[in-house]
Amino acid sequence: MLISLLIALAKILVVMALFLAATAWNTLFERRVVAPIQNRVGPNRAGPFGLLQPIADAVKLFFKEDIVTDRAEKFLYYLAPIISVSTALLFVAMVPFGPEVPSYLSTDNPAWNKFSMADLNVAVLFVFAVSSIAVYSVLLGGWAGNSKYSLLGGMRAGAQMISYEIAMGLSIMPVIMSASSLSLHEIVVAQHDVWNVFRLPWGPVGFVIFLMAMLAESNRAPFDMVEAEQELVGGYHTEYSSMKFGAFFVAEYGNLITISALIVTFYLGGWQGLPFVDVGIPAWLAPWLGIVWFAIKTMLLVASLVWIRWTFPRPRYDQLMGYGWKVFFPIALGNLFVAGVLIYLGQHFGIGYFG
Amino acid sequence: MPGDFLPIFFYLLLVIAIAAGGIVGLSRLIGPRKDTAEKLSPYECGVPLVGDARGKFPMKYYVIGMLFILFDIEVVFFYPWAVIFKDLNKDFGLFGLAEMVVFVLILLVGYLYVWRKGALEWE
Amino acid sequence: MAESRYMTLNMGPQHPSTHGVLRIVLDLDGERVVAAKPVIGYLHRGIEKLAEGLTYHQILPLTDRLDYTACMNCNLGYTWAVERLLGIESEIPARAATIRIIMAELSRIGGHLIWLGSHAGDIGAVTVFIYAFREREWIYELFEDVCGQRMTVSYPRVGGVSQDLPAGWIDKCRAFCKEMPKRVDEYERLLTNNRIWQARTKNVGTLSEADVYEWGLSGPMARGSGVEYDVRRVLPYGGYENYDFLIPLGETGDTYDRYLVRMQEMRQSVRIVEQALDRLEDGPIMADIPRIAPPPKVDVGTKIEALIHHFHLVLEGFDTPKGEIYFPSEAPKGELGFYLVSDGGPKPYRMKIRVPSFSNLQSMVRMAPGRFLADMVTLVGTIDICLADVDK
Repeated sequence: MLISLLIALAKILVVMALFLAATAWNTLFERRVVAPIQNRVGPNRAGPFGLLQPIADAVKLFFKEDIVTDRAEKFLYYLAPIISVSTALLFVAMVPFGPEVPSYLSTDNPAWNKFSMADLNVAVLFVFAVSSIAVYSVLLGGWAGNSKYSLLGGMRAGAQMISYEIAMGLSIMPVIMSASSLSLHEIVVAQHDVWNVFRLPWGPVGFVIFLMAMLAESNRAPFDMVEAEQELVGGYHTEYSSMKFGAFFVAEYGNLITISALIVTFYLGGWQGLPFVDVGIPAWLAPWLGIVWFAIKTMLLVASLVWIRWTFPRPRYDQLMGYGWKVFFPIALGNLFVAGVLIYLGQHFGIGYFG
Repeated sequence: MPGDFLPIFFYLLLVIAIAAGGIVGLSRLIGPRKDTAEKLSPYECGVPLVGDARGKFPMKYYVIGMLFILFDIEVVFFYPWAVIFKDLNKDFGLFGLAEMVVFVLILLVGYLYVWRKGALEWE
Repeated sequence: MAESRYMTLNMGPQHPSTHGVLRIVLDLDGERVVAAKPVIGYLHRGIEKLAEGLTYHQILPLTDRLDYTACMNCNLGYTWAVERLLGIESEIPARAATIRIIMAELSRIGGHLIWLGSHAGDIGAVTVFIYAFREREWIYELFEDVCGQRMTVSYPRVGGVSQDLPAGWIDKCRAFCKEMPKRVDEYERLLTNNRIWQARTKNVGTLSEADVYEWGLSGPMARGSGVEYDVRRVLPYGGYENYDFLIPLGETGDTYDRYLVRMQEMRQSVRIVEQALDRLEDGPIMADIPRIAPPPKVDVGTKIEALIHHFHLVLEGFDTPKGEIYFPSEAPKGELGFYLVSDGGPKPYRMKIRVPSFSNLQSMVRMAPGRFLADMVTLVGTIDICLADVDK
C-alpha cells in the first residue's frame, strides 16, 4: 500500500514537473509559431533558438516590483492568482497521457495504474468542476484590484462563463453516451476503432462546439474579452504586477495545453495512434508510444489554437453570449438528440461506428 | 473508491503550496518595493481617479444568469443519463431516449418562450 | 458625493487604443455607453502660433508634425497653399508636380495602412497590424531613398521639391505598385468576409448623410456615408484633374463601409501612382523663381547669385502679396485646409489649419451613445484620428 502510494506520488511529481516545464516553454512555442505567421523572427536571442527565453522571462518577472494598489482588497487580491495557478495545475490532473503503465510501475490500486495522475470514474465532472472554479480567479482578480478596467474584465468573465458552459457540457454528452463512462481513460478506449471526431454526423459538430467552448473557457483569443488589451488595457489583471501578473500567464499557457489535451482525449482518440502505424510495435514499447502519440496530437492542436488566436478578430461579448445561447445551445442539443438516436440504432443493429 | 482520490488530494496540497509560496509568495519576497502614492493608485489611464470601482454595477445579463442556472442543472441531469444510456437501451429499448426527449422538450418550451420574450437579447 | 447611476470611466490619455493621447470620458451603464466626451489637447504644440514667427520655408517642418501618419500630405498641402498665395502655381515644373502626386498618393497609402493596422489590431486582429506595417515600411523606404527621411520628410519646397528622384527609384516604386494591390487582397481575405469582423463593424457607428454635413466630416468619414466629397475631384489642385481615378463611396455609413472605402482608396492611389510614373518626364524639379524657390545646393557653393539668394531666403524669407487664401487638399483623413493671412511680409500674419481629424473626432459624440465599451475602440479606429493632427 505504502509503496503503491509512493509510486503514485512519484508519478504526480513527474507529471507536474513536466507540465510546468511544458507551460513555460509553451510561451516560447506560441511566440515561435506566431512569428512566421506574422513575417517575424520571434525570440531567438536567449540561448539557441531562444530556448532560454522562458527562464529569462520568469527571472525577470520574479525580480519585478510587486505593486499592491492601496485600494485593493488585499486578501482576495492575493487569492486570485493563487486560484488561477492552482486550477490550471489541477486541471491537468485527469488527463490520460497513455494507456496502462508497464508492470514494473503498477500498484495495487487499479485507478493509479494508468498514465495519468489518477483514473477516476468521475473524471469528466472533476475536469469541469476545476475549470468552473478557475472563473473565480478572474472574477475575484477583477474585483479585488479596485480598478474600473479590471472590474469590467471580471464582469465579462461572468458573462462569458454563462454563455458557453451549457454548450460545453452538452457537446461532450454524446462522447459520454458513446463510452458509457465518465472516466477519461475509458473514453479514450472507446475510441479504439473510430475517433469520436470521425463519427459522422455528431462527432465533428460536437468537436467544433467543444473546441470553441474550451477556447472561451481558457479565455483564449478570439474569446479573450476579459483581458482585451485594446479595450480594457488588460482587463482583470490590469492591477497585477510582478509574478502575480505572471501567475495569470502561467495559468493561461497551462490551460492552453490542458484544453488541447482534453480535446484530444474527448474527440481525437487520446493516446491512440493511427491504426496502420501501430502494427508490429514490441509490447514493452507500446505504452510509451501512446505518450508520444498524445504529445504529438496535443502539440498540433496547441499550434492550431495559436494559429486561431492570431488570425481572428475578437467578437464583442454580447455577441459571444448570442452565439452561445442562440446558436451553440440549440445545435448542441440537437446534436445530442441525433447522437442518441444513432447510438440507439447502432446498438440495435450492431453498428459500432455510431458509438 | 475514495482511496482513488488520495494522489489527487496530495497533488492539491502541492499545487496550492506552489501557487501560494512558489509563485505569489516568492515574488513578494524578492521583488523590490519602492511605493509612492502615484504608483499605488489604481489604473485610470494616467489621470486622477474619478469615482470608485466599488459602486453599484448594473448586471445587464442578470436574466441570462438565472437561465444559465436553470439549464446548467439540466446539463447536470444529463450526466448520469448519458453514462447509463447504452444500458437503458439494452434493457428498456427506446424508453431511455424517449424519457430524455420529453424532459428536454419541456425545457425547450421554456427556452423558446424566453427567446421570444427577448430575454436572450442584451437588455 | 451623490451616487451617480453611471460609472465614469476615463478612456485615455494612457490607453492602448486611443491612438496617442486622446482621452474620452465615458459614462457607462454597465458596459453600455451613455455619453462619450472626447477631451483633447494633450499633444498641443501651438503650431498655428509658432508659424506666425517663422518664414514660410521654416514653417514646412512644422507641418510634418500635424498628421504624422501621412507627413507628406501635410507638407504638400502647405506648399500648395503657399504657392497659391504667391500665385506661382502655374510655374511649378511638370516633373515636380508629378513627383508630388506620386508622393502624396504613396503617403495616402501609408496613412491608410496605419489606419488599417491599428483599427484591425484594436478589434483583435493583431496579425493584420503587422502585415500593414510591413507594407508601410516599404513606403517609408521609398521616402528614405528620395529624401533621407522616413517619417517627417519635409520633402517638398515652395516652388518644387527638394531633391530629384535617385537612380532606380522609379523601378522600385513600380515594383511596389505591382505588389501593393495583392497585399490589399491579402488584408481583405483576412477581414472583409470574416464573420467576426463584420459583426464587429457592421451597423456600428452609422452616420447618415445629414450627419456628415452637420458635423463637418470629410474624407472617408464622409464618403463612407455616400457623400461624394473628395477635394481632389471637387476642387482639383496640383494636377489631380489630369488623373483617372475613382472615388469609392459607402452606402450605409457604418464602420464596415468606411473600411471598404479606405481599402478601395488604397487601390485607387496605386492607380494614380502608376499613371504618374508613366507621365514622369525629365526636367527641372524647382521653379525658376530665384527670390522664392531655394537654389540647388551645388549652385550655392559655386555661383555668387545662388549664394545671395540662398542667403536672403534663409535670413529673411520671401515676401508674399498681401491677402488671404484658404487652400483645401485631400489628406488621407479628410480635408486638410490651410488658411493663410499675409500682411505682405515674409511670415504669415495668421495661419489657421483646418485639420481633418479634429472635425471627424466630433462625430464620436454622435456615434458613441448606446454602443458598448468594446465598440469605443472600433469607433476610435474608424474615425482614423491622429492626435497630433487634432491638437496641432
